[in-house]
Amino acid sequence: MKPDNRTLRQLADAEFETEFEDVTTVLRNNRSSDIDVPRRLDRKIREQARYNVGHDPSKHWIFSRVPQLALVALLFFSISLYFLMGLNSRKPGQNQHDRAVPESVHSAALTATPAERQLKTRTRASPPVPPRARVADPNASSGHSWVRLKFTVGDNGIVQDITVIESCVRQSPQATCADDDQYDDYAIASVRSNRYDHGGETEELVLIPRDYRPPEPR
Amino acid sequence: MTLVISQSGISPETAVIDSDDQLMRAYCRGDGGAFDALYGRYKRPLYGYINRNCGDTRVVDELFQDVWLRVIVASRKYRAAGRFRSWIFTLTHNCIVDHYRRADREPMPHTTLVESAADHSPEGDAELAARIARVVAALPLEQRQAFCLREESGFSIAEIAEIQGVGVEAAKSRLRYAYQKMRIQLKTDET
Repeated sequence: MKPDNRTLRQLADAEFETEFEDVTTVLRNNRSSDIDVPRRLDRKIREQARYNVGHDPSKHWIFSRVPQLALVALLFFSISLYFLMGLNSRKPGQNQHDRAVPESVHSAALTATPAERQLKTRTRASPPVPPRARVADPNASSGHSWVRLKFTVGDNGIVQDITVIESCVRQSPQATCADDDQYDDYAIASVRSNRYDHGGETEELVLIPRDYRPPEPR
Repeated sequence: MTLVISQSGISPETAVIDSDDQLMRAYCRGDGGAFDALYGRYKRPLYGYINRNCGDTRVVDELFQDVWLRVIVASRKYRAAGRFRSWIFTLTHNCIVDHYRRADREPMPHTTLVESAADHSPEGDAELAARIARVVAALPLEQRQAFCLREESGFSIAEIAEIQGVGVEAAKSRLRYAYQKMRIQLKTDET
């Protein structure tokens, strides 16, 4: 059987020992005694060792809780990020308030011009905010979002051929406009549920509920 | 290896540990008594080894302290990759080599070492022991280190090679030169 490395090394040691047996015998019978370490040095090293045990930075409470602290920080960061992303990307229609029909629809519908009726395509534009919506805002007739519609008014005052020209869905006046089909659909449905009528003494066109029937004169 | 409980401050837990690696790990866990036990085992062999290779008391103290500071610092990351004994002697050997390299110094002049060796109180034949110490001091650094590791610390040739960072054959060669010089010197002294 072939001897392994360890055995070979032991053999080499033994051979060496035999080769210089005369020298090693003399050496081991006349060995110099070990020198003592100076007391001052001895004390210094022991103190250093004990200080190190008491002051190991890795045993400090803050380091021993690094995983927990990191987890808490990560959780906090994730929550913050979730809210920030939610604020910027939240679309209307996700809650009851947003589902409400935008009031600007009324303003836009009232101000539709014949030229606009020729538009067949629906376009979506980013800011700047159209002048009509800006006018509607101070009158509290719109929120931060708005829709600009084009439609025709039939003889009976029925609103028809409604087309969205442009719209802007956003959470604050400073936010960038976003597209939202659902929001546009609500606006169209809102306009469709009304009709125009010559109202009262001023004879202005006013928007009234489509099914509204004025009371019969007595 | 069995622990001799002669050092003060060794905890009862430490007292039953007889492995160097276990002591080092116990110290790493914060058992100051484990360090005392380790230090008690190795302080004299290490101090003697450094003294044989440097001679100047001030430098010996400095290097000895440096070695133990390295042990203290290394304890935080200590992983038993081999035997602790080999590890600490390798550390000591590197400290000595660094010391000579740092200042671009030649190893200690032989005369200083011879004087230093003559100061040691020998066992057995006082005169012969003093002569041996002088011969050891006169050896070139690498041979002297190999010789001390073999004769004083009982390392095998393979372990010496590992400590000195050389091949087994190189370590064996250094030892052979050292022993041959020692033999010649001893025979010359007899005549």
